[in-house]
Amino acid sequence: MESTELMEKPQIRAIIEALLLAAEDPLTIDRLATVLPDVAPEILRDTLASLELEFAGPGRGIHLVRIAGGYQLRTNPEFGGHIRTLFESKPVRLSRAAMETLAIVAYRQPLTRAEADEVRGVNCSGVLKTLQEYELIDVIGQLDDIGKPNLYGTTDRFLEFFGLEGIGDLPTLESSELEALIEMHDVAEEVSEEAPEEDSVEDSDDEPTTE
Amino acid sequence: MTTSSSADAAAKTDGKKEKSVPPELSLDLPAYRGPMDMLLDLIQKHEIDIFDIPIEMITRRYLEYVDQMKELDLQVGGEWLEMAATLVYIKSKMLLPDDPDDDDDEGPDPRDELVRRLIEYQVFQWAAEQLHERPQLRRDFFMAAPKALHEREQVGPPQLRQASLFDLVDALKRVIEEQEEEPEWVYEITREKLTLRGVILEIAALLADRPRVSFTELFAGTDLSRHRIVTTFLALLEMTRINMIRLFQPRLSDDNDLLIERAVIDIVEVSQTLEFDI
Repeated sequence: MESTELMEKPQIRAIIEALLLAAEDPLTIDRLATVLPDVAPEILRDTLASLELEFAGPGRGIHLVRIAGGYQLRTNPEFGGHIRTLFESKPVRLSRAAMETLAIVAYRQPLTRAEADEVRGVNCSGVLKTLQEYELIDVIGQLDDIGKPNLYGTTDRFLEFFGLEGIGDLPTLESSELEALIEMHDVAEEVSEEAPEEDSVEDSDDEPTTE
Repeated sequence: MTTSSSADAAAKTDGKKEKSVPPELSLDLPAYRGPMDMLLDLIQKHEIDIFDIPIEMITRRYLEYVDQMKELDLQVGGEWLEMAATLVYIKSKMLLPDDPDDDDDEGPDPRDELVRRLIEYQVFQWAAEQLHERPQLRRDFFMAAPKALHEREQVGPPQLRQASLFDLVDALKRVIEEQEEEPEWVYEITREKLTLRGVILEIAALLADRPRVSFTELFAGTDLSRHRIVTTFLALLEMTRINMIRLFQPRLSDDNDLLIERAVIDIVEVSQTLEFDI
């Protein structure tokens, strides 16, 4: 058995390559296993891992990446401009308002429109609708509350669009900016507690508000 | 760029504010994505400690901005007025002396809630930037064109998505709108002998020659009547339900007519074997 598996390895590899190119959605190990039922899952995994190493880096035009729980071939992001020239197309542009709303949905999902409104301080219904049209978010349920408001969440298309393996792949908010801000806050408090009053009066000279 | 230059302009007007500068000069209003965005920009520009916001100055600047919006006849949404009210409220709270009878050193800072919201919003602005900087589909990277799917290979242009019921209703509306320009619509007296079965057979015959036809083509060469439009609509719904056809909506082309594609090869035969209660 083992020897046949070894012999077949280059062929398995070639088959997987072909499947990756032809597949429309990210190809999961499970889907691969249905196409190649005689191949052990470890071998599929190993082959994918080695293909991932091979299709990577600045020297390759095609990259194999993990997206939305599967594997997908895509072009090297470095060459986006060339492809757009080929297609004579402009890049899809999401407005900053759309980006903000998308970020809020991504991190807070599932959430209602009212919650997004609250964070941004503006009505988000139009932006949410646009994002829904782009298939980046969708209604994923209803809140069990008065009026049964829709709950929004991101789609697999969202993961594909930003090349994410899963939602957990997003940079964590807690460990970054927020923490820095909280630290700043603590420092600011300490300073204001320790410093005598006159100091803060002097500081206020620097303020551009003086009239 | 625009934001900083306008802030400079605002600072200058501040310096010589008694010299009645006509307000028409300050046309360069930065476009903010709402009151919170505007406040954060103010805070950054003046290097204000977000935990010690000079509420008097911020409120003044904010109200000036809202006034300018009004002068420019821009629509000032309710959210701008709501924030103005919040700022003025906080300002008035800060002006009140501490209650001497209160044993606590200080009550909660009236700015706390605003600060919490501003920080939260700033975090999401940061997150949005992170997202924006990631490689993006169709901006930075592309997938292999999905030609392998046999149905795509079989016929027609790519960039279609499966039509929803709303696309069908929209297509119907367009046909009716065209129709309403013709006065005959009102005087419709005769009624064609139309049955659902008959219309399905007609559509099937059209699709027998070509794998895909457009919605408007269904009405070519027929007398457009309300009865026909409604029957065609029902026929499409029924044919989609039993998977005889698929409906597609072009995603990117300007010509946004609904497309009807056959889902079975021997469509005429299939349509002849249908049974209806109607």
